[in-house]
Amino acid sequence: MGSFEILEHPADIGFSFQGETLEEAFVQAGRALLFLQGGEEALRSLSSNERVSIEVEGNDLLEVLYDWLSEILFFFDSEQLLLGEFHFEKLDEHGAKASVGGQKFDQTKFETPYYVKAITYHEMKLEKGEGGWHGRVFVDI
Amino acid sequence: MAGSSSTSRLVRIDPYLWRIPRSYRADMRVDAEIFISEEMLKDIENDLSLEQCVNVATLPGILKASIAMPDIHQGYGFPIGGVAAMDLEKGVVSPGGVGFDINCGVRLLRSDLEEEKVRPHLERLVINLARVIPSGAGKEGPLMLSLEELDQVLGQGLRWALKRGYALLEDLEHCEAGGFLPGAAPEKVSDHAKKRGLAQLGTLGSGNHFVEIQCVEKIYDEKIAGKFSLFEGQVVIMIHSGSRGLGHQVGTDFIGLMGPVMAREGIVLPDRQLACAPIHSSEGKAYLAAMKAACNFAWCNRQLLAFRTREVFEEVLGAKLPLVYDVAHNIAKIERHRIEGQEREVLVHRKGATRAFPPNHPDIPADYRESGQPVLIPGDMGRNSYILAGLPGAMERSFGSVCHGAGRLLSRTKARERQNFYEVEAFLKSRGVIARAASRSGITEEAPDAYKDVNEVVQVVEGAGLAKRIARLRPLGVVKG
Repeated sequence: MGSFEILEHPADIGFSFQGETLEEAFVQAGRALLFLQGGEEALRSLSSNERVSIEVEGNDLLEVLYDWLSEILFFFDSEQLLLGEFHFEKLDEHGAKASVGGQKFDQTKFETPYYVKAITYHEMKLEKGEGGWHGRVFVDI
Repeated sequence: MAGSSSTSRLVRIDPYLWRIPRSYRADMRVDAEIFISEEMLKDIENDLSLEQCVNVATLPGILKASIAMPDIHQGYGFPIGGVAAMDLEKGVVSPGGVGFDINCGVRLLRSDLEEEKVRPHLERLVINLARVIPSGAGKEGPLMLSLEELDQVLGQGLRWALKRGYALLEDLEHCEAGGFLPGAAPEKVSDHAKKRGLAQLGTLGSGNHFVEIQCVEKIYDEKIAGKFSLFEGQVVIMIHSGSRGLGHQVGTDFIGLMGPVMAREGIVLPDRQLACAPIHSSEGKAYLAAMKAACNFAWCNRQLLAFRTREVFEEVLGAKLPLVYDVAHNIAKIERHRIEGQEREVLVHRKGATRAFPPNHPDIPADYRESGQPVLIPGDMGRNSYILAGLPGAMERSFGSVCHGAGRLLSRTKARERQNFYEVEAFLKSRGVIARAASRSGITEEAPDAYKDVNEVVQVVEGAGLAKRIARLRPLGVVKG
């Protein structure tokens, strides 16, 4: 099992994440973004009654991560869709393909702790080390 | 890359200008220049803002200096409060030098009412504004545009708003660039960006965006204030918002695209977030055309927010609210500036910096031409905001630019830890300010002491001869995102 942690930035916010496998690390980055968009309640009780497919391409892992998170953000901002359940069909330095589940943002249930405008490359990291993959992302809020 | 290493390399040029010379790092093409006071330097010692200002100095084609304003704080790639002008032939355009919130900006509406007339109606005004202005996450706007109409917004800016009855002709005259950038290309804006924008026109957004009812507390220059139709005791309304999800996605798309371009062009930079493309490359041109479209969207967004605000003031007080001015503070524009004695066109990036053209500049509306361009500087919701007028010093020293606000001092998480919602609300109440926000955290993270003192920021701008103070404003009622 992986995990994530929220990080401070003077004007914005970020998160670090880790997973035994690359897939798990990407799942945790997605969960961190879910937390910023829907809070603890979304982490705890998000249903998967809606499904979308996310497919991104990149020239390296950081680009794939940037595009992957940007897609999750896109679904939230354009369709008010919170996404929290991720099944990868493909994931490597050239791209990712996943089936993703979630539900519509429900204002009576969820509160958005931080409205995320965009994913950034600022001090972005994703490395394989002891115990698996470790990453860090800062977002613009 | 600790902040303190670059602080120690600062050379004091005068009380309001500090320089990190080009010799500080081998990859710098020009000096880094920071307009700031000794006192305010302490606020940025421990973050990366100076290092980011140095990083900007490495961009190909940068002219004169990488410049930062006194509200400088750490951003992504560029520092917030950064100004960089590029040679059109050899230079680059960096989407990070504009920021994700393309054409985030400020507009000021004026009433002919004094505070005492408005005070009894203040709560109703704030409640009504909060009701008609969608704010916070996941809120859709009052308009659901068709894709065809969205393309008109992107291509025409305020000319679309005029045609649709949301704007008056005077609104266009009192807006930077007339609220319309020619050369905007809706077809360069991705489907993703358009989808984010479709339901968001006329929405405030979150974070530090606001609609604020203010009172003119002090006039510094009667003559120019008169030209701007401002007087002491007058109630005015300041609106701060940008291009919403549409602009954020344009930024996201193009920063993502720039990686391969830099590899192709052999551009190596110290920070990936500075990603850029030559201005004359197809990618550089495409970004500028998409950025202009997002700028047009942002002007229409602020116009719709003003339209709703006018409806509320008309209904409650029977008041009309003419536009004083509207300025962008996240933008890149081709402008004429003097480089080594010769005037020529350059591309000016302003990331958290405001244009401040001096008297007689042709881009200022005719009725303000003698005064210099009105510059709108929002502060925090407990202290002050300012109206300045541009001076010739800005053209000589900072590519016609000044600060954009107070500048953040505390991270949002720290601000939330420091005071709870009730404490901030009580403080605002003690200052006579009524505040409403989409969420309680929207109030706590925007607490006044999370910001630098805008009074000090503006003092530096005036001390450096970039712009002069015309009026100081005090908040009365705030609707926050």
